[in-house]
Amino acid sequence: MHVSKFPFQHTRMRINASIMARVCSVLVLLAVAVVGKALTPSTFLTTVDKDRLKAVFEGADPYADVQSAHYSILGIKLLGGTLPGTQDTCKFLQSKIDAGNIASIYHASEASKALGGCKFDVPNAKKILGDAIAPSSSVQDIAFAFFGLKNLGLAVDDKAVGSALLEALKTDDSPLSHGYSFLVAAELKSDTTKFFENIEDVIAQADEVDEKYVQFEGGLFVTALVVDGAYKLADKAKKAPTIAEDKVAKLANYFLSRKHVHQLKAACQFVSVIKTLTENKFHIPIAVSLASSVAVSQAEPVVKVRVTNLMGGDLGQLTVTADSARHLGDEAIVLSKKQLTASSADKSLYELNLMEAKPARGFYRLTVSVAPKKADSRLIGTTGAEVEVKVTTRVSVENVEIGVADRDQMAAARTTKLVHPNKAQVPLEADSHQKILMRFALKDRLTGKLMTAHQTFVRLTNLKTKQEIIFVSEADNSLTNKFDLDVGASAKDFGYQSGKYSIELIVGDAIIENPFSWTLADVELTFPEGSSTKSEIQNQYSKKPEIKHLFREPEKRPPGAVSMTFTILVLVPLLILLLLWLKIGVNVSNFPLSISAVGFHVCLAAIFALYYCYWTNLNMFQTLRYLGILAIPTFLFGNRLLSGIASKRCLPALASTICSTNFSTLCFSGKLHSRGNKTQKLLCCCPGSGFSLARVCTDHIMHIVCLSRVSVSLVGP
Amino acid sequence: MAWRQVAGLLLVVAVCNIASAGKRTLVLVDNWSIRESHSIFFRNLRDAGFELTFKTADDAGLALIKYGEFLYDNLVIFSPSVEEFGGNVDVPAITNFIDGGGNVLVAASSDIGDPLRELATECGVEFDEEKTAVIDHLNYDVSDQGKHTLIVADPANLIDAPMIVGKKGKSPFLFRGVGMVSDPENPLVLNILRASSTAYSHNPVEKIEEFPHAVGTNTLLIGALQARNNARVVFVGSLDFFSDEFFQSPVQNANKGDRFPVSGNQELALNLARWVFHQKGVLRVGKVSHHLKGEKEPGPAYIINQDIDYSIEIEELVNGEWRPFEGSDVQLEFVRIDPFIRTTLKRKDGKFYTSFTLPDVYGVFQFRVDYNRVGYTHLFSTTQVSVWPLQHTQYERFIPSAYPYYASAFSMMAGVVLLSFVFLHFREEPKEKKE
Repeated sequence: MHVSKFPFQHTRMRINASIMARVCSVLVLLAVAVVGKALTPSTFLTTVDKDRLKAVFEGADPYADVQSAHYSILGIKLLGGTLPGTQDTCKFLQSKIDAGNIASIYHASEASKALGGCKFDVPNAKKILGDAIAPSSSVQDIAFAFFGLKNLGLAVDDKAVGSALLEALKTDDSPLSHGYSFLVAAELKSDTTKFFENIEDVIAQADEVDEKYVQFEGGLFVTALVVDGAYKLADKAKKAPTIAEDKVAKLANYFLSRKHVHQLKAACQFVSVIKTLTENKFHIPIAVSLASSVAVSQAEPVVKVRVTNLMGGDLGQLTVTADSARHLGDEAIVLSKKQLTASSADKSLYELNLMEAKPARGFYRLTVSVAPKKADSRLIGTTGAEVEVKVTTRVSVENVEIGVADRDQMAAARTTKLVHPNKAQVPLEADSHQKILMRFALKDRLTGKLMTAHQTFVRLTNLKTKQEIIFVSEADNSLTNKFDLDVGASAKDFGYQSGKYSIELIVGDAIIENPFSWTLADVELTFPEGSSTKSEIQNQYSKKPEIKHLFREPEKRPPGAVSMTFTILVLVPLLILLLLWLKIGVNVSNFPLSISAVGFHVCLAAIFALYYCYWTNLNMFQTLRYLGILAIPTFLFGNRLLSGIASKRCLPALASTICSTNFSTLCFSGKLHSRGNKTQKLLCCCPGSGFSLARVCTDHIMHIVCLSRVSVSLVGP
Repeated sequence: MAWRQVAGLLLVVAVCNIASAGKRTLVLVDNWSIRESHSIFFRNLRDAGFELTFKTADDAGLALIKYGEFLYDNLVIFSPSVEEFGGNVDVPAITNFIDGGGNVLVAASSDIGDPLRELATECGVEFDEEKTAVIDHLNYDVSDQGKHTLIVADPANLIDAPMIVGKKGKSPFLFRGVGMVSDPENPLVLNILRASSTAYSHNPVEKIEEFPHAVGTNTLLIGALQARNNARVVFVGSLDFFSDEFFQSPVQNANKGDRFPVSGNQELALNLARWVFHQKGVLRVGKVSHHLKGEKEPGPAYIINQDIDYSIEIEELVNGEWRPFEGSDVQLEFVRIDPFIRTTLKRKDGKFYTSFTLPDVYGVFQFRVDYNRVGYTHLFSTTQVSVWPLQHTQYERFIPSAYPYYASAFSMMAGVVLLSFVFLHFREEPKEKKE
């Protein structure tokens, strides 16, 4: 992970902080007492917090490395928990220690020290750690080496450590380094005044947040380390560290705001610093916290205040005084300079019966000051501690009426009186020309006066769709709530959804002890028809309805029997023809056994067979191709055959019988023979060309011509 | 040597970039203390594999984009009170980030500043004014400070989408912060957690003069948006919702007894974070195949009424791995402008398949799988095919009722063959002989 630094912001803050540090020392005490926010911590490390932190420390077992072992064991020890088994942990530390790494040796040695009864030697430790104590090392390394040496029971040259630290601090004067340097200095036997003087400067570097917290950049660990080190050093120097008291309070506030810390290292340092802040000889911030509920009422009139140190320990005999109790709304002061009585059960608890002062309902800020019976200058935050409480009351709802009236009629409507928490027996009915009327008043049971509440809502819930519509009811000058619902005008709010609705009155306020939601009645609302056309938008996230394609219905066909019958009927003529021919006998002896004759008929049959194939399996293009192939022989054979027949028939028939007129010319085989002298021009069939026009004397020839045409046309595609 | 090192470094950076795809997360905070006060949440995020980069929201060097590329995949805005972002970041930059597929988690509080309100409005969620809080006088926690703003949100008011919110636990949620309403016209907004019907959003110390911004169950505590590009944005009205304190606090509704040792916040927060940052609910399409029934490969086109098989592989991101998706409601549409067929796909080994008969209408169709479910990314896959009409040879050839016609045609052909033979070669009996 990478965290960018903010040099710009940092310097600005630092300047601010250093200026403040100077000014603060003078002003602070006044400021806190008079103007400033309450700086006294209002919380402390409760048992729950301690248990949680303990769980954090214990949760680290089994340890990932020596560092987590160190912080976990130390944390548990600081909180007074049960330490893990010494032997196993010791073995773990020994096995995990990296003899070449200063930090590793340090953490392992610290862990073993916290554990107690775990000793181990680290080969070369003396050399490695001893070498680290040099001006060129980082402050952290020097500190680690110093503590490592000490923990391992090896000799350390305190003077060398001191001077090395001071040198190292020159190159790196971050709060973190200073924090470590304080911790080391606290253990040094040599002169440490220089380190002690550093405390003021370092603390001045801290940033203030919200005028309530003081922290170092780098967060909880650094802040805790610096403060922890500063007080340990001060302990050794036997002089109070130069940290302004308000700053201590702010630091304490900051630490406590981080009590939910989860990170092992920071948590350990956090516990350590809190402990330091409760045990040192100079500054002990006190925590003034509310031990009872925020709400103070007739039933629970006592405000309990707990005054402790940050760890929750009691501070001996104290005089706790409530300087004032101020109402947060109208600034009225209901109480001043009243001493709290110490609780007999718990030494740190102090009690005050606030209700004796007859406070009005509302929020109050109690300013509490603490004075120890035996003067103790260490205590910080003894004045101006604030505790916020609220005086609550019970509310009752009175004069409840509900009814339905015509919209334009001003006459008093018939209404039903209701008593909380009963529900109207008869459901109301209202249509768009009517309105629903509701009257009610809220009464403070404490004072018997009418009051208003922050929340007086009327909720209508559609019993079917669970859709809810909420209206705000406001009180008039006489503190009576009048709620009119014009059904027609608010139809849009209801989405024109006619149906049964329940009317509910919700009353609530921070100072009402008994907020309630009361179902008054059911109402049947009728909205104008037709306006509720708003179709429901289909939920885009749901499964859509399935669609099945509706295939076109095939046309109805006659039953198979009918078509078979007709098929047979259609075939009958052919059968009859064949039968008749069989019966009569057909003389086809004219059939010339020539290739052309056989070929022609075979080809003709093949063409029809092709048509059949076209029907059964071929497509048009295949058919055309085959037909093209078949056409050529058919044509040639047909031509030959027909011209052959024609010539055969022309010669005898024309010559002998048919042409009774004076034919002198006959065409034959393409040759024109001229017989006789005078010839009439004749047009004759010309078998060679297949069909010539001829003016023939008989129909017979005409016939031939026709036939040849037919055959030719048959040949065609 | 130097260039080699540089090249090596670049390579490392490049590899890191690939490895960290989808994980680079920028966390904007108001101040550094949030890192500590919300440490559990951030640790959970780290454990889930996110690389967190913390910056203050007013950091002068803030940038989401550099040289036209996004520097982060995810953005966490835990700086409710920010009045102006630092650097190059502003609301348009963030919406641009969302448009570019970035995910954003926003936590607000009663100190909400204008930029966050604007950003929310862009995303179809409207925050209430500064200084307001969700108040519920009937459902507040026992540790409430008196204003009834530390409300106890019932898990029953959670959206019914386990993919987003995880399994519904019993522990209620602690919430202290600002309320929102969602734009009812925006279909992409999801109301993750609503307040109860007695809640409302208002300044707790001011009298209610006007109708509150949000009342009853319209009050949204957590809202989410999954944009059309699958970028996800979650708005939580309470920054404290993610705090270590709330994660560990016990919950007890002051008006109804039950005490829960620990709030449901942590679980919900982590589930939300994993969802919003695309660690779950992410689907992708694998191989899509379609072909004629009984064949392996598709032809150039289909012909009406053919039976075809369709299959699509869908994978889901589970714990960083792509696993076969196990939904049972994936639907296929066969669309030509409108869907002609919509059918639910069957699932087998992560493969969704079906077979159906093409409609008897030709044209250019699409196989469309449009899987849009709450919590999942929008899965959309189309494959275009053309469906041809029957070729002339493909019509029915042997129609029983047409047999009379076939028969007559062929009988005529047979007749022609016979007649032509007979006619051409017929020899008349010489009558003269008889005579």
